[in-house]
Amino acid sequence: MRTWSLMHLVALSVIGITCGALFAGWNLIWGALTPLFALVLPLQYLLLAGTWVIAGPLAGLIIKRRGAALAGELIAASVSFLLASQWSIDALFSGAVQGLGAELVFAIFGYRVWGWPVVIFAGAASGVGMALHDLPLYFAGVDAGYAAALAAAMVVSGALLGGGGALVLHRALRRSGALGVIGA
Amino acid sequence: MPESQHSTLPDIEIADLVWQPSGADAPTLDLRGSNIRVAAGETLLISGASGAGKSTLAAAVAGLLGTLLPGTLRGTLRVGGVDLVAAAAEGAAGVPRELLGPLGFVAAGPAPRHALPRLLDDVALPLESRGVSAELLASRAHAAIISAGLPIDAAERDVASLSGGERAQAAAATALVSTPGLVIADEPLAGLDATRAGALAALLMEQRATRVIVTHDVTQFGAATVRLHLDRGRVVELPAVELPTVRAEGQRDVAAQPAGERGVVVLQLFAAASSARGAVGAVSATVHAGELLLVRGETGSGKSTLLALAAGTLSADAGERHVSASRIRYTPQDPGLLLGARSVHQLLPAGEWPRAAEVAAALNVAELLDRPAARCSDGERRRLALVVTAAAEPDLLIADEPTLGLDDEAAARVSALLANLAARGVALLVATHDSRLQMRHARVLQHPDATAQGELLREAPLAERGVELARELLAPAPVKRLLGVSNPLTRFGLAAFWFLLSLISPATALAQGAVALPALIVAWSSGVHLISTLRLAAALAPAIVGMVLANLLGGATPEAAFGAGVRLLAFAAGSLVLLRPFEPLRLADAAMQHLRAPFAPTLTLLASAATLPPLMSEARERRAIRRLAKPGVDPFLLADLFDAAIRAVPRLATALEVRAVRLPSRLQPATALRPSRFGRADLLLILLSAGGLLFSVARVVIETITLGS
Repeated sequence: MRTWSLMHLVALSVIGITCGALFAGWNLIWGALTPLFALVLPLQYLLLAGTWVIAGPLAGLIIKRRGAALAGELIAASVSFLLASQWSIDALFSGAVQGLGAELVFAIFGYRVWGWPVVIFAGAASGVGMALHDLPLYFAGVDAGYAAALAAAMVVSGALLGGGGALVLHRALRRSGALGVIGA
Repeated sequence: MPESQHSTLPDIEIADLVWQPSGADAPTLDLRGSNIRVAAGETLLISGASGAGKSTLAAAVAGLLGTLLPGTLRGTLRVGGVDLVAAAAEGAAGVPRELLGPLGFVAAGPAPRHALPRLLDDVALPLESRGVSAELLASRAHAAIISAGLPIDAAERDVASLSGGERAQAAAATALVSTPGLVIADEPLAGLDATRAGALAALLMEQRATRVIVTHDVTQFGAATVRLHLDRGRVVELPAVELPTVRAEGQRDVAAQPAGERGVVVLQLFAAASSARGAVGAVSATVHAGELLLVRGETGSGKSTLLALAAGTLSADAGERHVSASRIRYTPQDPGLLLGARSVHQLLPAGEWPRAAEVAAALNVAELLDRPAARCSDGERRRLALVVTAAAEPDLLIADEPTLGLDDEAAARVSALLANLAARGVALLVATHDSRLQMRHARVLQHPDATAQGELLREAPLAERGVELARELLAPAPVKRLLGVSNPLTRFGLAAFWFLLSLISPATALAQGAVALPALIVAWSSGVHLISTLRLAAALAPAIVGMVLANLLGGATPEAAFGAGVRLLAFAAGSLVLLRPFEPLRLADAAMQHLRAPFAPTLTLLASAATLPPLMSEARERRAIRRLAKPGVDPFLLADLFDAAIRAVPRLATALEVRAVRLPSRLQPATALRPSRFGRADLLLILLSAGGLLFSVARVVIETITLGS
C-alpha cells in the first residue's frame, strides 16, 4: 500500500478546500434556482447536484491513496459548512455519505484501477450516497415514483458532473503540468 | 533536546550526487566526479547560471529530495552523519528527524514561502513545533523579526501584504528563529536594496551554524569557506565571467534626442492609489514611447504597486490613469502568475512564435520554449515570462524586477534586451533594486518621490460610507466588549447540536426557530460579516420555498411538505452562529488546545485553508495578467483556481516541512502562541441552546400528558 507523505496531505487539503469554495458558490446558485425549478425539481438535481460530489472522485484520482476520496469530500463539505451555508452542519453528513460512495468504488478496485469507467462509477456511487441521505431527510412524504425520479437524477448527475467533471479537471491539470510538480 | 545550541554542528559530505525528479527525462543535478566536504561551522557558497541546479542542491542538503519531493537520488550525501540517499531510497516520509531538528531553511522567492498568514504566527511556528514554551514564543519571534531588519509592527501584518524584499527578510526571520545549527538559504537577499542586503548577509554569516547559501551575489558572502560554481547541473571551474556585448541597433539615434522630445506619452498615472494596497501612498508617473523608465526605491516603498496600477491589473480607486498605448504587457515579479505551469508555446498564439524565438535566443532560453514552466528553474521562468511579454511587440512593456535572482550573464542579456526594445520605440516601465541594471539612456524614478509622499485627502465615495455604516451596525463595539467574542468551537458544537435537535421532530424545529433569534443577536454582537449574512439569506429563502413546493408536487401532504421546509430553516439556524468572519487559525488553535487534535494534520489543513483567499486573488490576478496578454480569450476561472491550488502544494508542503510541523510527538503536546479561551459569549450561547432543549422536552412531555388524559 502506498504511504502518505506530507506532500499528499497538503495536496488533499488544498484540493478539498478549493472544492469547498466551489461548493459555497454552488450553494448560492442552487438556492437562487430552487423556486424556478420547483415544478421539476428532479431536473434541477440532474443539471446541478453532481457538482457537490466532485471532491471525492477528484481527490481520489489525483492522490490515488486509501481514504483520499472520503477525506477530500469531507474537507470540502466542512469548508462549505464553515462558510455558513443554508444546509449548515448537514453538509458534513452529506459529505460523509457521498465521499463514502466514491471511496467504496475505489476500494473495490483495490486502489489500482483509475480509468475513466471507475471514476464515473465513483461519481455515480456518490450520487447513490446523496439519494440515501437527501430522500429521507427532505422528501420523506413524496410518492414512490417522484422519489425514484429524484434518486435517478442524483445518480446520473453524480456520474456525469461529479465523475466526469473530476476527469475533465484532472486532464486539464495534467496537461498544464501542475500535477507533475506533486509527482502525481 | 529539541534545540541545537548545545549540540555539535553538522558537517556535509557530497559525492557523485545525481538527482532525477520523477517525470523528468534527464537528471537536473549531476555531480558525478565531484567530491565536496563542508566541515562543521563552515559555509558552502553555491553560485552559477540560472537553471544550473543551485536550488536543487540546496534542497538536497536540507533532506527534501526523494523524501518530500518525488524523484530518484543516487550517490553519497551525508549531513551530520545522516545518510540522506538511504533515506530517499527507503521512501522516508519527509526529512529525517535528526536533520529536521536543527534545520533552518530559506526557500527561493518571490513565490509565497510562508505557512501561516500572519507574520508573527509564521515565525513562531518553528518554535511551537520544537516544543518551546508558550511564554518564550512571542518574545523570541519578535526578536527574530527585528533582527531580520523588519519593523516591529510588521509582526501583526499578513505576509502576503509585505513587499518582495520584506518577504525575503520575513523568510530569514522564520529560518533563524529556532537558532538552527544548519542554515540553508536559497537566494536569501533577492529583492532587497543594497543596505538591507548587506545587513541580512551579515546576520546569516554570524549565526553559529553550518551554512549552505545559494546566491548570485557572491561578494556579500566574502567569508565563505567552500565555493561551488554550477552549470547545467554540473560543477564547473569558476570562470572569469565574460559579459556578452550586445549592441542595441539604432540606440544612438534614440539617445541623440533630448529627453523631453523622446516620444509621445503612452501612460500617465497621477496620484493613483488602491485600497487593496493600503500601506502604499499615492503614486504618479509618466512614460513616453521609446523611453526606459527605471523605478528604484527602498524595499517596501510600493514599486510593485505602481507597476500593477500602471498595468491596470490593480484597479485604482483614487487618482487618475491615462493610457494611450494599445498593447500593454506586464511581467509580474512572480513569473508563475503569468506562466502558470505552461510552456511559452502553449501561452502564445502561433503568430507570435517567430518573435518569441528571437527574444528567447537573445535571453539564452531558446531551447526552453516547449518546456512546461513547472519544470524550469526560477531564473529560467523569469526570462521566459519576459519572452512571453516582449514577443507580443507591445507599445508599453512593464516589468517587475526582471533580473531578480539572475546570474551576471543573464542579467546583462536582460539589460541588452530592454535597451533594444526601447530603441525600437517600446515604452518600458521597469522596477528594480538591481544595480547591475544600469543603462545609460534610462530615466530613473526614485520611489516614493517627494510629491507622491504627501497624504492625499480624499472623500470616500457614498457607497463606501454606506458599507462602513452597515459594518458598524453589524459589529457594535460596546456589546462586543461586554460579551467578548465566542470561541469557534462553541459555534461548531452548537451547529451540530441544533441539527440533531431538529431531527427529533418538526415541533422541536419550531422551538429552535424561537431560540435562533436571540442566538442571532449574540452572533451579531460579536460582529457578523455583512456579505455572509446576505449570502445566507439569499440562498436560504428561495431554497425553503422551492423545497416546500417540490414536496407538495411530489405528492407529500401539506404537513409533511411544511415540515421539510421548517427542518431546512432549523438546520440553517445552526449557520447563524457562523456568520462571524471565519478565522481558520483560531479554530485550529481551539481544536488543538481543547480537543487535543493532532498538531501536524490540523496545521496542514488549516495552513491550506489560509491559502485559499490568496489563491483566489492569485487566480484572479493571473486571469487579469493573461487577459492583457491575450485579449478576447478568457480562461475559465475554475481551471485557473485548481491550477494555482495544485501548484501551491509543493511550496506549502516544503514550508510546513522545514518549519518541522511533523516533529511534536504525542507525549509532547504543542504549546501555543495564541491561547484559546471560553468567555461570556460562549456561556450565553450554551445557555440559550440548553433553554431550547428544555423548551422542546417540556413541550413533548406536556403533549404526551395531554394526549394521555
